Amino acid sequence: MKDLLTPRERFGLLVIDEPQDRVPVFPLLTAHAAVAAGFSLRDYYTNGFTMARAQLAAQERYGIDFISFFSEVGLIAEALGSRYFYPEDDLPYLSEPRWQEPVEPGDYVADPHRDGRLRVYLEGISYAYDACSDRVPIVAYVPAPFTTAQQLLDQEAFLTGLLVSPDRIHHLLDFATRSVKRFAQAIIRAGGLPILVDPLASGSVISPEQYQEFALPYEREVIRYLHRFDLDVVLHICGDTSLIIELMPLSGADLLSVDRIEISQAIKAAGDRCRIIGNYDTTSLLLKSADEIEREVTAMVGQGKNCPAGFVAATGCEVPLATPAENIDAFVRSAKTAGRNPDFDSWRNG
Amino acid sequence: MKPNLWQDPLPARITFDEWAELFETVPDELIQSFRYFRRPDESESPRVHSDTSNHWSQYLFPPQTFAIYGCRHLRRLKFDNSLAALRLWGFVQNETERLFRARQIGRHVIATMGDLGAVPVIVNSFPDCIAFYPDCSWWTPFVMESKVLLETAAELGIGEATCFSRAALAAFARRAYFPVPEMVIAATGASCDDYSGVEQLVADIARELLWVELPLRRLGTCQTFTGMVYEAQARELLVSEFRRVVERLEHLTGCRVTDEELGRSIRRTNRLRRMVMELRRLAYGDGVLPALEMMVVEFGNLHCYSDPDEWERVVEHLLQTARQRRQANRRVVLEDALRLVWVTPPADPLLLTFVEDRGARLVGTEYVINQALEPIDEEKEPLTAIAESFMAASLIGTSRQRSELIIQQLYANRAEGVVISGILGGSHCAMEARLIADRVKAETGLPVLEFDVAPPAREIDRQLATRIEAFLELLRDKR
Amino acid sequence: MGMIRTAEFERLQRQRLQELSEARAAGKKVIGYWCQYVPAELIHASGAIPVRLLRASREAEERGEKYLRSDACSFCKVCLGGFETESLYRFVDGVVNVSTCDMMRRLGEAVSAFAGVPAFTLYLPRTSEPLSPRVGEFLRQLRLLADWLACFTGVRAESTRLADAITSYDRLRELLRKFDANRALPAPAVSQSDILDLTALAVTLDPDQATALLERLLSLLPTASAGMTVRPRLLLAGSIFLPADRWFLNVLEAGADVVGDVLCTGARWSAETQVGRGDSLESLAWFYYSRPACACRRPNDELYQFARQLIAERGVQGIVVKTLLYCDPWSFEIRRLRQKLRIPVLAVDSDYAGENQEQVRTRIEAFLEAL
Repeated sequence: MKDLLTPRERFGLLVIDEPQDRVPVFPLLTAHAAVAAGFSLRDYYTNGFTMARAQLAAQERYGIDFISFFSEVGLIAEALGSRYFYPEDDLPYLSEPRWQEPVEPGDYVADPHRDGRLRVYLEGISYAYDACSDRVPIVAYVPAPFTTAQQLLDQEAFLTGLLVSPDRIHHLLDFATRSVKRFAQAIIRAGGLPILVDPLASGSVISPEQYQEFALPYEREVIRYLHRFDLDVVLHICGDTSLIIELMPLSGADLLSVDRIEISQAIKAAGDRCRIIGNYDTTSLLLKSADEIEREVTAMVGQGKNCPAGFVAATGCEVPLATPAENIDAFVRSAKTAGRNPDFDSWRNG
Repeated sequence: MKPNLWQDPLPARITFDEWAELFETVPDELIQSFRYFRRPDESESPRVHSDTSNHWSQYLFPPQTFAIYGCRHLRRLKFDNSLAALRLWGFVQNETERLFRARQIGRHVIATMGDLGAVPVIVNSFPDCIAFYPDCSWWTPFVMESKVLLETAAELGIGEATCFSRAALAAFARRAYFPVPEMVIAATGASCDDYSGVEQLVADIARELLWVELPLRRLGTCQTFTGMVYEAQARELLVSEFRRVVERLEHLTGCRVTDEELGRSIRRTNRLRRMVMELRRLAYGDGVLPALEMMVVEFGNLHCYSDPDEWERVVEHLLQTARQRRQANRRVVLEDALRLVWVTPPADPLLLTFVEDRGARLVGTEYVINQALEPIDEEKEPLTAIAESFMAASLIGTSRQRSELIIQQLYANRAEGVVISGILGGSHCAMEARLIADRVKAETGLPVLEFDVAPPAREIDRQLATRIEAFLELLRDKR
Repeated sequence: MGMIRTAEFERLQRQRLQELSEARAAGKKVIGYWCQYVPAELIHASGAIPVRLLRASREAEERGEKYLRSDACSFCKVCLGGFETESLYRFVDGVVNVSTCDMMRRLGEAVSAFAGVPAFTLYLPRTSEPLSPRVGEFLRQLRLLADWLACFTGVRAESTRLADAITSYDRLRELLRKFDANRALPAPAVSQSDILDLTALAVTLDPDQATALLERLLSLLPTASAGMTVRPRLLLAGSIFLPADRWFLNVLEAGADVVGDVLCTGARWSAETQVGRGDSLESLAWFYYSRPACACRRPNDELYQFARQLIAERGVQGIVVKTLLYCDPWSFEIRRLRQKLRIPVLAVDSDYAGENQEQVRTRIEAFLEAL
C-alpha cells in the first residue's frame, strides 16, 4: 500500500504528539547501506559523498523513514587525537587511544571541518540534504561524551578511572563534551538532526550508578544545547538498557532508542515522557527467516503502538553488514503493515 | 523580556550561516521567555499531555531549526539581524506546530479561506477559537523547495495550469500541515478563481464548510477609512454573510458572541493594523527593515499566525526595533538603493532577497491584501465595521482601483520602478497584469517589470534573474 | 444530416448581421453578452437588441493575446480579440459580462480599455445558495443593468415590456427543450450539434424569428424513435462550447450519440422556464440566480444533480468533458466528475488554435472503443 505521508511529514507529526498514518520505520541501516550499494566500507567512512549516496540508495531501496549518517563511535575521539585503523572492508577500529592514563586534557575543541573524518559526515549530510530533505529527515549519530571519552583513553584505564580518579574522568568528559557540542552544531548547520549515541554507557558496560554519574550529566548537557534549537533529540544506547531505562529520560531526550530490553518495560518506564524507538534484535534480523522476522516484528510493533508518547519501529542496534536484503524487506514490510493507523484520514480514498 | 539580556548588533541583513553564529550568543533565558498561547493572566502556556517540561510553546529559534525540519529555502535567504526579526521568523515558522498544539489544548481550529483578513476578526472574537489560512500554504513548496504538495495537488486533479494556491488543497489532504479544521469558512465571489476552485474541492474533504459571498465593489457613495469608495448595499450583503459566520460559530462553540467581544477583537486588530502601517512607513520610508521581514509582517495581519495575543507582542517588538533604528538613523538597506514598489506577493521569497542584494529596496507593496491594512471603525456596529473595512480589499474591485493603490505609493515614496510578480495560471494575474502595467505607466511614466514566478527551485531562474538585473540597470541609468 | 444545414445556419447568421446593421442605422442599440446568466429579456425589454457573442477563431484568440497574458482562458482571449476579427462584434454598442469567474469578471474592464466598447459587469453572487440578501443584491445589480441599458436606449424596462420579453424567451426555451427531449429516445433524431446550433440561433436572432424557425423545425421532428442504435450514449460537459468547436463534435458524433449536455450554450440555457414565477424584475432575479449551476457556482452540487438526472434518464454511458486551457471552474471539476458520477470520463483540454485536433481525435476514438 502506498504511504499517505512522506517520512518528513510522518516524523513531523510524531514529534508534536500527533497521530501518523503509520509508525515510522527505522532499521538502523548504517554501514550496511554501503554494502548494499556495493561501496567499499573504507570509501564509505572516508568519503561523505559515498556515505550519502549509500544512505540515499538504502532509503529508496528499503523504503525507510530516515537517512542516517553513522560509521563508528570513535569519530570525535579520532578528531581529538585517538588513532584508528581503517580496514578496506570493515569499519575503523581503535588502534591507539589518545591517552594511556587519565591526564589533564586541555581545552582543545575539535574542528568539524578540519579534524579527523568529521567533515565526512558534514559533506554527506549536505549532499543528502539537498537531495531529499524535503521528504526525508536527515539524522546523524553523534557519539556522546561518555562514549567519546572512553575512546580517548585506554579502556582499562578509563574503567579504572571511573572508580579511582573520577575527577580526572570528569575533566575528560568535559573535554569531550565541548567537541561533541561543536560537532553537533556543525551537523545542525549542515541540515542534519543530531542523534546522541552512547553505546558505551549501556548496562552492558557500566553500572546504573556510573551511568548516572558519568554519562547522564554529559548527555543532558549536549541535549540541553540541542534544545536551544528546539530539536527533537534521540538518545540511542545499544546493549542492555534495562537497568538505566528509568534514568534515560532524565537526559532530556525526546526520543529514546533502545536495544536489549523488553519493549513493554521501556514503554512502561519512559513511554509517557519519551517516544520509544526500538528494538528488534539485530542477530535475529541477520539469522532468522523472513517469515519469523515478520511475525516477531509484527508483535513488537503491536506492543510499541501502545506507547503513549509515540513509537518508531527500529532495530535495537546497527543492521549487521551481512544481513540479507529480504530480511530487511521483511522487517520494513511487517513494521509498516502492523504500524498502520486505520484512524488516520485517508484522502487517497476520497 | 529583560532589557539587559540582549543588545542588537548594528542593523544588517545577514545570511543563514551568520544567524547561526549570532544565535550562539542568545542567552537561554531569552529563548525560554518567548512563548505562544500564553494565558492572559500568566506567562506560562498550558500543558500538553506528553510534555512534562512544558517547553513546547517556545518559539525563539533560528532559521537552522526550521531548515532541519525541511525548510530548505531558508538557507538561501537573508534575514534582518535583530532579535525582533529572529522572534518574527521563529513565530511564523512555528505555525504548523502551533495549530496542532491548539487542538491538543482544546481550542477550536477554524480554517478561513479566500477573504484574506476579515473573517478571522470574527473567529478570534470567540473564546478558544483560532483562525488560520490554509491559503498561505502556497509558500510551502517554495520554503521547502519541494514538489510534495504540488504533486499531491496534481493527484487531486489540479495541475500546473493553476497557480500555487493548489498547494493549499494538498495541505488539506495530507493532514500534516495543519490539523483537520472543525470548520472551513470559504469566501468566494469577487475573488480569485484558483482559491475558489480549491475551496470547492476542500468542501469534499472538510468536516463542515460554510460558503461566504464576497461582493463586487462598485463606485458608490460610501468610503472606507482610507477613502476607498464603495456602495452601502454591497457592504450590507457582506454583513449578512458575516452574520451567518457568527451564527455558525455560535452553533459550533455553544457560545454567543457579544458586541463587546467582537469589539475587543476589532480593537486588537486595529492595534495590529496601526502598528503594521507604522512599520510600513518606517521600512518603506526610512529603510529600517528589509523587504522579506516586511512581507512576513504584512501577511501576519491576515490571521496573526494563529495566536493574536502573541503576534501583537511580536509586532510591537519589531516596531520598537524599527523606531530605535530610525532614531539612531541606522538603515538596513542602502541609502541610495533603487526604490521599487512590488505588486502581488512573490511566491518565492528569495526574489526579495535577490533584489535587495542587487541594490534595490522596496518602498511600497500591493500584496493583494489591502483589506488587512485597513482600520476597522470602532464606533460602528461590529459586523458593519468589519464589512466596511473589507470593502477596501485589493481584488474585489477593478484593476483600475488596484492600480490607484499602487500609484499612491509610487508617489508617496518617490518610487523609481514597479515590479509585478505574477503566477502562471493565477486568474487575476492573467487578466489584470497588462491593465495595471498600462495604467501605472500612463500615470507615472515609471518603468514596470512584469514576470511570472518560476516553480519552486533552489535558485532564481536564470532568465528571470537576468531580466531583473537588466531592469535594475535601466533604473540606475535613468537616475 | 442535422436539423439545420450548415449553409442554412450560416445564411441565417449573415442575415442577422444585415438586420443588426439596419437596426443600428435606425438608431437601435445592440448589446452583446457572453454568459447564460445575462437576462436577455431585460436587454430586450430595454429596447436594445441582445446578441450572445458566440464567435471564436484562432485569429481572435491570437489578437486577444495582445492584451491578455497567455494564461488567460482561451474564451476570454477570443472575447477580446473578437472585437478585431469578428463582424458580429463590430455591431455591438455595449457588452454585458458576468462575474461568474474571476476572468470573466475582469473581461468587461479589458474590453473597455482595449476595445473601447462600454461594458457593464453584472455581479452575480458566486455562492449558489439562494439566500435573500444574495438574491436581493443580484436584483439590485439587474436594476443597475437596467439603468445602464436605459442610458443607451433611453428606454426603461417597464413591467409590461419585461413580461412580454419573458414570454418570448420562455417560448424559445420551451421549444428548445422539446428538441433536447428527443435525445432521450433510443435512436435520437436530434444531435448535440443540432442543440448547439438551435440554441445559438435562439440567442442571436430576434426572438420571434427564432421562435418561428424552431416551431417549423419542430414540426419536422419525428415524435417516435426510429428503432434502436448501438452507438455509445454520451453526455457532453465542460467550458463554454462554441460553433468553432464543431470539429470536436464531428469527431464525437461520428462514433456516438451525445444524448445530453450540461453546457451553458446547450441544454442548460433552456433547462427551465419562468412560467409561474412571475414577470417582474424580482422574479427575473430569482430565476437567473437559480439557473442550473455553472461549475463556477459555489457549491456547484446542482450541476451534478443536473448531470445525474440526465445520466439516469437517458442511459448515458460516458462523459466527455471539453475544457478550455486555463478555465479554472471546469478544469477543477474533472476529478470530481469521475468520483461523483462514477461513469467513464474523457477529459480533453484545448484552445481555439486547434493544434491538438489529431490528438483529440485519437483520444476520443479510443474512449469510444473502450465504452
